[in-house]
Order: sequence, then structure tokens, then C-alpha cells
Amino acid sequence: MTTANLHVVVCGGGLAGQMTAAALGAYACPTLTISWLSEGKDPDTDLFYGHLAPPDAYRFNLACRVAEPDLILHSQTALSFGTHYRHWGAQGLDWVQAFHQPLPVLEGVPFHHYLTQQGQGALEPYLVSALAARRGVFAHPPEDRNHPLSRAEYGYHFEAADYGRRFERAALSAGVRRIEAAIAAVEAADGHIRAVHLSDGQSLTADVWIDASGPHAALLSRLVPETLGHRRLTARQVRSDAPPAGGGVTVVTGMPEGWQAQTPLRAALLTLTVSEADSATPADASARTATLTVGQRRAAWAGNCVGIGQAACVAEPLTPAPMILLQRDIERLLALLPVTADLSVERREFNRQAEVDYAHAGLFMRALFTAAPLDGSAYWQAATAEPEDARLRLKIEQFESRGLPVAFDLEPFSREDWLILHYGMGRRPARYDRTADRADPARVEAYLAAQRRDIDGVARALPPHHQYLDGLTGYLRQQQGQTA
Amino acid sequence: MRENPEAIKSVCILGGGTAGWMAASALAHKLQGLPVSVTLIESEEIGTVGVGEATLPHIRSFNAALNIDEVTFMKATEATFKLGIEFCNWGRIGDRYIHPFGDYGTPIDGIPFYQYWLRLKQMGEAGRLDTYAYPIAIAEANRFRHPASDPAQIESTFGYAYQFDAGRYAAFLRRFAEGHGVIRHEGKVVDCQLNPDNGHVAALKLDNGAVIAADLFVDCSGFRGLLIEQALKTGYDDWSQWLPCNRAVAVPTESRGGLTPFTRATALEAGWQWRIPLQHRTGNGHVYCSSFISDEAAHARLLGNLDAPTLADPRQLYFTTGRRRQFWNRNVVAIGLAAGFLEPLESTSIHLIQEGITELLQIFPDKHFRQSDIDEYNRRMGVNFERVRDFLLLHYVATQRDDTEMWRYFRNMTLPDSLEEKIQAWLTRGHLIRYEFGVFLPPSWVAVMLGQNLIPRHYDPRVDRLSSDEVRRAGDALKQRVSAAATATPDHGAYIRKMGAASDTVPLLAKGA
Repeated sequence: MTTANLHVVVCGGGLAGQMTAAALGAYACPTLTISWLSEGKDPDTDLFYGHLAPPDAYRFNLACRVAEPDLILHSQTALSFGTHYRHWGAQGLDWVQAFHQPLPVLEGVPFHHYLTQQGQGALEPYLVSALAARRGVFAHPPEDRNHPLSRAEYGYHFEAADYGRRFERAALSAGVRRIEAAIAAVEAADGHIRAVHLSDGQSLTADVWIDASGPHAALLSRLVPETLGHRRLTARQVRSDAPPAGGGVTVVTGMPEGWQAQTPLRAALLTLTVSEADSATPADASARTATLTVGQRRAAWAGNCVGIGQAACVAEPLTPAPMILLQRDIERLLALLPVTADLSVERREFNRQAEVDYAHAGLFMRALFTAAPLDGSAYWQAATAEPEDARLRLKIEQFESRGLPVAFDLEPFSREDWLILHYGMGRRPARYDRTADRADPARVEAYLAAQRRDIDGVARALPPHHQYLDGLTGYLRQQQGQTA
Repeated sequence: MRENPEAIKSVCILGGGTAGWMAASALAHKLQGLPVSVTLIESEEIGTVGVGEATLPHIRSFNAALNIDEVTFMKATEATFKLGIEFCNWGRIGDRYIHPFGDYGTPIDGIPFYQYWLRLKQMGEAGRLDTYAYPIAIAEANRFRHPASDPAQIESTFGYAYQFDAGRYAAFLRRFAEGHGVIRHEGKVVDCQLNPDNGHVAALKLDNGAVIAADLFVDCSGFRGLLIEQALKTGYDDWSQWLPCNRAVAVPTESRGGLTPFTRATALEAGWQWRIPLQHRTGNGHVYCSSFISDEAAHARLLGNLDAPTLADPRQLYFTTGRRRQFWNRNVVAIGLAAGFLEPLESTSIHLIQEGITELLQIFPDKHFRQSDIDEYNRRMGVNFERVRDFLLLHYVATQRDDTEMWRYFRNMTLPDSLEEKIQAWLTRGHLIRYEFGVFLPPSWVAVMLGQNLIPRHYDPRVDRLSSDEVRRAGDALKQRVSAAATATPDHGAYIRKMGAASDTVPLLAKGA
């Protein structure tokens, strides 16, 4: 193999396979051949990707040739300002983990220090996306930086199979060769995948194998059978096809046995319930169910096989982490597409980045369980069984001490995500940047009041999420010359 | 305003060089209006090193935060604009390249332009990488303009810094700081009084009998680290194994020839030589390793290389590269040479001062001096120092030179793992291992590695999505844009004059160029 000739085979018919095929397809050319073995379509295990994609999905999707208008016109995908957590932990915490751009820095002092100075405990009145989410309203953030809504960010509500079809279509349009057969046998030797034999008698060979087959990791598990993590969770999804009343936010409700997320799509409501695998929850015949061990494979890339998505790491879908990690896995793969038969440099760098990403995402997930635990809840006990990582302690300690963000290189969750989470968990800095005291307190108070008023006014003026999407759909159809 | 009994009421800065007055200015400005006194102790008998005359673009944000007017500042400090650093003889003798403050071209399909250049190179059709970078094109032609605000214009694709007289910058900032309430004490420290309960520095006694007490001390006393080391015995991590240069000799010369908007670093047999053009003079120096050359030979080498008559006698400096084990210990924060020293090959000295000040302002303590604050400050500054160290070391090891003992020393060196992996990823496929925190971003690494002939064996295969013709056309179009824009850019000296930033003392006015 040389730079001039690379054959990649993607294995997996679920969301990870579809997205990987589309992402690679965008770079298909005579020297990069992509085959896609789309075995195992719409697997139940895709429930563990959750139903919320992060704001960065817009850019990621576009690079895969999946534009937002395409999603709006041809899928059930809806728009989202974030997650509303309710009844969380023993204190019954309630906050909107909103997607939001950085808050302003005023006279060299980060915004939230003025809240501490003024003794204000609530951040949410200053987060336009959080207020809009609570009201179930939506509009795209405008480019005008003076408009309060311009600080909002948004992601997508999706159902894996429906969302994945747009990627599948993009992959096929880009010339990815799809093979619809089941894997009969995997031939591995010397730490490498040598061939995959299919149910139709074909045998595949490749320079690089992309294992996007889900948590069982049909290929990678042959090279790396060991996984780290032992906690088993069950996810159950019920779909209601009645048009949802609200929209624009996923609502996660804490329960003793775990949590439940309600995610409104265009014309359906998805209810996902996650609990410990062995907890006794009444079965629902209409529910799709998957039980997985959360954690990661010992190596995401071994030999000539790269694990993408759940093949490498299964995260609990309590935050957008599973989708953030999936997107990052794919982008990391693109940036490290092999150039020679010696994959050692690519493998080392891929695994290094993957390790760091999984660990950093884990910090954010673990931080959700630093709230007072629910007494007697096996779910909370298991979620807090592992001690807090030193980096997480540092983040919490510095925030509680002085509102200082502690960040590490290229974390998947931004400083704003952390700031909103800290406030959501009920933490308040004990001290503030004393240079905030230079400002006239009356002026600061008036400024904050004006901010709250403006943001509230904007949120009140926005249309309901479904109404906005209907209008947007009509507009897009008109643009495309279709009948509304 | 509420009074917090735990709030720091007094800050004392020891040392009045670049670091001292930068710290004093920033603290005075930031704390203005608060009940905090800022004092600075310096002695006219103790010379300053005048660390660094060349800067990085970040210095602009430091000045901007103080609301310093660019024209006033440039006039006062004999400043010129700086678009990057020209490195001569680093990869091989006879090589030269410019490390610009900006990128090469613009990404195509989200892939950096240099990857397309690597493909053009494999096709045998790549021009010098420098010809695809606007800041390099204008630097080589001694031209300058401020960056355009429209990101679509090629003239927006760069940053800039300054080359200035560090002594005058310190004096300029002294006026600023004193204007903002900083009290200056003239005198030498003869005794450092420690609080017996907690080991904190309580007060400094001066040779004139004055005793200066403070809650927080900022040690800008230079290499000696009068407080951080001599009083608190903090310890020093010696990085000589990686950066063995330990001496420098500096000499100013007359300003001659065109006013180059870049600093020059020329690799020599046992170190390297700098050339920094200011308005009123040119700064020159030879950084060298005493294991490989004598002081006399080093002086002779410098004097023999000058392109203009000297204006003063050569000045000798001694140092050990490395960093203080703790930049912040108890109630003392070391900034500048007291914090550590990394040779000024990439103009990082003033930048590291700036970082130290910025972090101190962010993590400004109260009288509790919580260990968590101290640890976080030290963690952040440690990352900064280590990443600069790796980048500096890259210059010495990304080379084909083995003509002297020093270059052979670097050839046989075991690199820090972080740097070794970075170089391997680059050589294999032009991949840059990125980080978020640290001053040198990917374009800087690209500039040095390609400039010193570390040519990757392969390029990013995604580049092949474009046909050879498309890549060729993209390259040609970029080159033409760069060239046309550079031709329309004003002369550097003329631009300084036109904006009113030429100093009154200067031959620049008479230069006419």
C-alpha cells in the first residue's frame, strides 16, 4: 500500500457505520476505495448513542455532505437547545444544560464573577438557550452579535435509524460500495485482520478495517478482546407517534432506578429509560431494549483494525457524550487515514487521542454524579462506585473556590458546558475576581437586570419549536421549488 | 465597595527590569480603584538584563489591555514591526526560512494548505513554501501593513509583533505604572524577613534602611531569584541536557540597510546569533554553549559577523536553561528570569513574562494563599514552559548538520517522548500532534519542520480528492494572490513614518527608504 492506493472496509450497518461511510465517502477518489459492509442495520444497541447530537454536528454533518436542510426536509430530526435535567439526585436538582456560546467578559472579568459578587445564585436567566428550552420555543441564532439569541447554540434531536439514513444516502451518492451480507467468519492472524468471509460466499480483504459494528466489535474484538469497565446498563426506548406538545429540549428526569429522557422529534416523542441491568423494571412489550457494559476496549486501534463508536467505547447516553465521541472517533480516523502498510504511527496517535477523549468525556459524565446521591439507589451507588478523578476534583475545587475554569487540552465539553453544569449541580464560587469590585455596583445591577430582561424578552418572543420547524420546512421547500 | 478582610492589601514587586515593570503596569491597571498598593523595588546600581527585544503577537493584547496607544508606544521604544523570524543555517548551512506569524495559505476542504503543498512537492511542482504565505512575502520585501479586517482578504492572514528596546519599554511602562499609582523604591535588598509561622516573606529591608512589607511578593529579580530561590530555596529544574547553551554575548550596532520587519537567528558552530532591527539601532548577540566554544572565540565570532559598526562594548550573560520547581511558592510569585530561562530563539522571554502575569491576575490570591491556587498556577506555567522547551529543542534536532561537536551532541540526544512522537508523526505523514494550551500552534511547527527540511514521506491522503490539475491551480492562484498583495504593501520604514511612529531620535527619519 502507498499513499496512492488505499482500500478501506467499514463494517457496521448502524449509526456508526453509516456516519463513518459518509465521512469517508466525502474523500472517495481513485486512490481511496471505500467498501461498506452494512451488516446489522438499526441495531438496538444504537439506543446507547442517545437522541441528542451536539452543536458541532452541524459542521460534522456538512463535511459528510449531510446538510441541515436535508435533515429538516427528509427526516424526523428536530432542533435542540440542550437537556433539561429534573429531579436529579437527592436534592432534586433542576437545570437546563443548555448549548451556549461563551458568556461575555466585562472589563476583563468573566461574566459569572459578577453574579457571585451580586450574590446571585442563578445563571440560567442569562442563558437565552436555557430560557427558550424551558418554554419549548426555538429560532436559529442570528449572526448579529448584538442580538441576545446569537449566543445560543443548538444541536439535533434524532432517532438513530432515521438520522443514519441521511448519512447512508450521502455515502452511496459519494460512491461508497455497499455490500449487504452478513459476516460468516473473521480471519485474524498476527494481530491483524486478514480477511472477512461473508454469508454469500464472498471474501473481503482490505488495507484497513473500520470496525463500526457496535459494542460486540465483530472485528476488533478478535484482536482486542479485553474491555475496561464492568457496569451494565439497560436502555429501553418507547416511541410515541403523537406529535409532541413541546420541543427544542430533551428532558431528563432522575429516578431511583436511573433516569428517563424524553426527546421530541418532528412528529414523535422518544422516551429512553436507563437503569442498572439487573434492576427490576417492568417490561414493556413495545419497548426496544439494549443492555450494554459501559466502558472502553483496551485499545481502539489494533493491528489494521480501527474501532469507531461503540466498538471502541460505550458511554451512557445521559449527555451528548456518545455522539461527541462518535464524531471525534470519525474525525480522528479521517486525519489519520493510513499512508503506508506500517500503521504504527497512526495507531499510536489514534489511541492516544481516543484515550484522552474518553477520559475527558468521562469527567463530565462523572461530574453529574457529584450531586448528593439518592439514598438506596443501586443506580447511584454504581455510578459513584469509582472515585472521582483528580482532574475532576481540580475542576470542582477551583470552581467552588473562586469560579476559575480548569481546562485540559482539547476537551470534548467546553468551558461553558462545565460552567453551566457546575451551576446546575448547585455549586457557587466562594470568591469572585475582586476586580469586579471596580465597577459601580448600581451599574452592575442595572446591567444584569437589563440582560435578564432582554434575554427573557427574546425567549418570550420566539415561536414554539414545532411551529418554527413547520415554517422552516415550508421555506426550504419553497427554496427547492417544491410544493409546500 | 465591600471590604474583604482577607483581601491582599499590598503587593511588592522586586526588580525593575522588563518583567518588573510589566508586572507593575498590569497589576496597577487591573487593581486600579481597589484598596491595594503596588510597590516596586529596584536599584539603579543593579543592571537589568533587558530580556528579549523581539516579541510575539501576544504582546499586542498585553498593551491593548493597558489601553496603550500603539504609535506612542512605538515612538517611545524605538519599535519596529515584526512579522516573524528568519532562521539561517539551521537545517543545513546555506538554508534559510522564515517562521511567520501566520499560516501558509488557507485550508481547502478543512485540510491545511501545507498538505496540498506536500503533494505538489511530490509532483515536483511546488515552489518554496514561503511563496504561499503573505506575511513571509512582505517580510522578505521589507514591507508592512496592519492586517486587513476582512477575513476573505489574504492581507488578513497574519499577525504581527514588535521589535523594541526592552530598556525603553521598561522605562515606558514605569511611567505608565507610576501614573497608575505604583510606588517605586530605590534601593538594594539587604535582608529578607520571613514570617516564622508560615515561612512567608514578610518584609524586605533595603540598604537605605527602609523596610517594605507586603502581603504578596512578585520576584522579578532576575536569574538570582532573590526571593523565590535565595529566601525560599525553591529549587531549579536544570534543562541543560536538552538546551545546553549557557552563555550569551550581546552588542548593539548602528542601524544600516533596509529596515527588516523580522528578527534573524543564524545557527553557528556552537550556538546561534540574533539580529533584531530597531529604529535607532540593531541588537545583536551570540548565544552559545561554553562546552563547545570559549568566551573569547564566541565574542570574536559575534564581532566578525556584524553588518554595521558597534555602538557599545559587548556584554556578557550567563544562564542555565530550566525552570524554577515552583513558580509560585508561599507568598512569592516568580516572573521573568526568576521563574526560569529558555534561550530567546523564538522570542519567548517576554511572552513567558506576560503569561506569568496573566495567570497571576486570573488566580490572584487572598491572604489565605490557598494551596489549590498555588498548585493551579504552577500547573499552568509548567505546561507553558515545557511546551516552549520542546519547540526550542526542535530547532536543534530538526537538522542535517553534524559539522561541529555541538550539532553532533544534538544528533545523539534522547528526546523527550512528547517531542519524539511529534517528530515521528510529522515525518510519517505530515501529521501534527496538537495541543490547546501552549504558545506555538500548528503553523509554527510546520514552519520549523519544513523550514529545516523535515519533509514528510507522505501527505494526508484526503488531499487526493482533488485532481492534480485542481491542486496545481489552487497553488498557483494562491501564489499569485500572495505576490500581488505583497507588491501592493507599503515599505516597512515608510509605513512606520506615515503612521507617526518614527521616534524622534532616529536615523529612520533620515533613511528615506
